[in-house]
Amino acid sequence: MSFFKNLTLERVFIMLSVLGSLVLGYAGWATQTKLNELTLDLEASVPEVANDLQQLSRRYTSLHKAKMGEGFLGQENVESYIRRCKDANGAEIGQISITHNSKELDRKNEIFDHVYTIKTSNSDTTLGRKNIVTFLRELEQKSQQMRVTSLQLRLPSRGKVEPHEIPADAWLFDATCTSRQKKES
Amino acid sequence: MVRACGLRIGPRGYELVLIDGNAKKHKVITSKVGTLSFATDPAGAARTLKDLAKQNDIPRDRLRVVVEGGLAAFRKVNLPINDDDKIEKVVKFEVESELPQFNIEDVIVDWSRLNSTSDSCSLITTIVKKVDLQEILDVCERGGVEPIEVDSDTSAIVNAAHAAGALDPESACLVVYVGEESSSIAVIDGLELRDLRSIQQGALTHLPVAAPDSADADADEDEDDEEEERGAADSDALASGDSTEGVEESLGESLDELDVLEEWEETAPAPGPEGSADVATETEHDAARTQILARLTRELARSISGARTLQPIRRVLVAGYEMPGLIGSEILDVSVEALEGLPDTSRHASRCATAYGAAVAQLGGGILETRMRREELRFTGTMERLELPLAVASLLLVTFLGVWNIGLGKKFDRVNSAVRYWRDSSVAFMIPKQKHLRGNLDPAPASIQNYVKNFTGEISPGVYRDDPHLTRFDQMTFLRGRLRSEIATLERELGQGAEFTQPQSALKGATYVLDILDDTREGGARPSIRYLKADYSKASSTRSDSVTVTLDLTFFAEDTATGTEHFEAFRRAIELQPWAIEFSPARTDPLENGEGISIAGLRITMDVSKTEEATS
Repeated sequence: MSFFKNLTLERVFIMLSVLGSLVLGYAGWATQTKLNELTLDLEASVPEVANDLQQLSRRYTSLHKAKMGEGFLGQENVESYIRRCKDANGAEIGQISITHNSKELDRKNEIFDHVYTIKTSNSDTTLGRKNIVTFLRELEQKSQQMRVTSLQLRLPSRGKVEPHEIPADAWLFDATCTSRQKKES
Repeated sequence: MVRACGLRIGPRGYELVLIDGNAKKHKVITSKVGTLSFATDPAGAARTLKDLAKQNDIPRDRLRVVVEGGLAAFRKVNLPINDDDKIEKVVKFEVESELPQFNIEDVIVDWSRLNSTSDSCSLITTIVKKVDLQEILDVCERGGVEPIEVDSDTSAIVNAAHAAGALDPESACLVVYVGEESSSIAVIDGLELRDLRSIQQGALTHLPVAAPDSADADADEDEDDEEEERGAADSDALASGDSTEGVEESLGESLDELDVLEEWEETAPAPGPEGSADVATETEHDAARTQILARLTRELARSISGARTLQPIRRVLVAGYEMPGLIGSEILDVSVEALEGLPDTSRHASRCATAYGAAVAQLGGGILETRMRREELRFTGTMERLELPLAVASLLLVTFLGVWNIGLGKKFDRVNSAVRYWRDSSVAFMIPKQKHLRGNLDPAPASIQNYVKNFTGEISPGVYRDDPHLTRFDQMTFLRGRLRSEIATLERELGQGAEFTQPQSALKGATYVLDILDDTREGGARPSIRYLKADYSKASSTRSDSVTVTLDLTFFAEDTATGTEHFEAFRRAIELQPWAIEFSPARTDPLENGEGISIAGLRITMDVSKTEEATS
């Protein structure tokens, strides 16, 4: 090639400049593309992802706390958990009896409902609303696997209160809690 | 195969030879001869060359032009150096003293080595006025046939003789090219150059230069065989037998006879290259030509006698324009012969010899290398002319692109820095830099903690950690993905995954209903509960999971109507809730004292999953 054979300073400049232009042109194009994408992300997606991170981190923390608070893995542990909740500050509902039975919910997926019926040991024992609600809230709050699926508050039959009378805060109480689990858990 | 072209541009005509092949083996593609006069009709000459280029596909990058040897002067120089680069630097100044008639800056000095030792050399220099060369180059440029290099007849005829195989390594010879107005002579000893010279006597010296005539010029450009034949016939006609014979008789004599020739020359009418054409008769032409032949012969004799060769001069090889009486004669017992072995170039082999020699030289052949395009006459093709503006333009372009890149880089850094701020703030929200503080991601999963530690945050002021494989925004999405994955794992462990969900909470259902009931107090209602029951109902094929809250309650009021109003307000409030499914009619009874109503067995069915915290 005569171009390279008779290499002059101008030709060296031309070659280097063309080479440099190609490199710089490509680099500029790549940077411009990245910049466009990043600007778009910054305006639209970044705040959304940041918000997601905040929510998800809280959610994770909450779940982790729930997991740590479970404290039970089997039937005996669940009963212990329920009894621990009844003794929580503000609950203090005294002696309770717990009966357990399981119902198969989904044979294919081997999902079972473990149902725990909670009653006061003495059927005449009356409790304040606050004690009952605190106990039930403890049951649900400290475990993500426990739900109060049934509750009943009724006035004692003795000393019947007429509709136009205001009853005292003393209630008979029973509740049912359900924990839905896979068989292996 | 490579194609090369030799184009001789003489003062009155041109010769063109186009060859194809290489220096040793090639064939003539075409050859053309014709008339032109670049001195008197440069425009016509340019047109002729343009047509010639168009008709013959002349390779522009392998075109060598030959100029008449008469334009050159020759000087021998001895130098105490033998390095080409050093010779190039000094030769012009060394020869300056030999050329008192020229300003050294006005001439081109080319050189060929005659002989050399390790530290000295003897050169023959060819000196041509730049203005003469420029004139021819201008015509060539206007004709679109700007040559790569320029030869003179003297060197081109030597290369032609060498390519034709006419040079005998065992003897010396003179190689002569008879031009229109001058003749070029080279003394060759074996295959070594010994001397170059030119004589201002050519085959057409005695004829006046034709006046510029565009019609004639156009006709000349359309060169064809007929025209050439006519030219040849004219030449024959100019060479009458008598004069030739007269000269022939005088040739071949001894050196003493030169004196006789000179005496005869002095008595003969002087040739008039100019002015006498209009009145010249054939007889006068014959006489003039005879005189030219005599002068040429005398100069050749001088060259022979003056030549310092190791081997005896045996032949004078002649090519070029026809000079009747020269070939076949003897000068100082040296036979004058036609230069044989030239390739077939129609009828013009001899006339085209120097053009052929130039074409061969352009292919790298020949024994003399001429470089007459020097200094400001150096060949500059289109690229050469454009390269300076191109270099400037390309430098400007690269500068512009550089500035553009710098601007883009800074802008990118600004935006990327903003994204980093978002990234690091989000990370700090999850995992604070201060270890004693508890973040919102507590405890942070090990994988996320490691990633955050290695690829985010500040190393030193202004220097930040980044993931080399991800952009900062991608890092955020990566963290979000990892977090989702961790949450999914936890949810699975806690039985909250998509596989199954925990039953709805009857406690939560009852709480929502009682909360609405409590709100009615703001409207003046005074509700009192006497019985509460809440039950979860599993979904069936016709309905979803739900909780049913059953209530017995009393709305105390001033009167029954007011109590009923409060109950209806409660009912409306319940029915406005998104989680409400059904508000079953209930039996209402006025209180015995008339201060309100009692409701028994009120059933409210609801979907707890539609409450604000849809966790159950």
